[in-house]
Amino acid sequence: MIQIRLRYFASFAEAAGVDSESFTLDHHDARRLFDDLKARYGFRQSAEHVRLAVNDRFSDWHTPLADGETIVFIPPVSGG
Amino acid sequence: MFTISETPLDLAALRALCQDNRAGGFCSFEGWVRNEHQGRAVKGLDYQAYVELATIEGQRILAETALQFPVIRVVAAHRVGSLAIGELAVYVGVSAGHRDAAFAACRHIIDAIKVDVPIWKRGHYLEGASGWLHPTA
Repeated sequence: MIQIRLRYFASFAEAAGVDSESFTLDHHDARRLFDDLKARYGFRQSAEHVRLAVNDRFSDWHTPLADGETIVFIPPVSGG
Repeated sequence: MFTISETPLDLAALRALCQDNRAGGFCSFEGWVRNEHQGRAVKGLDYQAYVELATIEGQRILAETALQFPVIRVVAAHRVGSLAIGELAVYVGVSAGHRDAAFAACRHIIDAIKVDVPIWKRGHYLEGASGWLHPTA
């Protein structure tokens, strides 16, 4: 089991109703975590359009999640 | 230097960061809040940043641009918070020995910011609705 912290931004924060929360996971799979959150909160973006950050760095979806990490799923950006 | 600001951007201060006795040209880009989005009348925009990663990515873009183009100073800044029509949302400034590099690097920086820096805008529309913008190519 690993404990991770999630932070949410933009429509993901709106959908989740919180800016951050902690989860205990029985796996290390970022894609599975995203799909679970998408089902729970009704995120509109599919994983293909979402980027992943781990501990404030862009990360790869295939890198196993580890205990204590802060995870952010990043919906398509619209700055500028 | 890339910064994210909760208060109005100081154009004179940002421009001053680009001044250098070796520079013969300066080019800047300002992104302003427009009064419409895809045909809908807009009354304002909220900008939100993932500040930690946005700052890292913004600095990376500026550093890479300074390696790719013969420029002297590169500066960019982005506002967050609630902005009204006409307000300055993003600024890019580049000084260089000659104008070609200043124009090209300025364009490169704003294009990269719009792709890689985790900042989002939420439109507030005159008809009363609002929503976060998540464009997909």
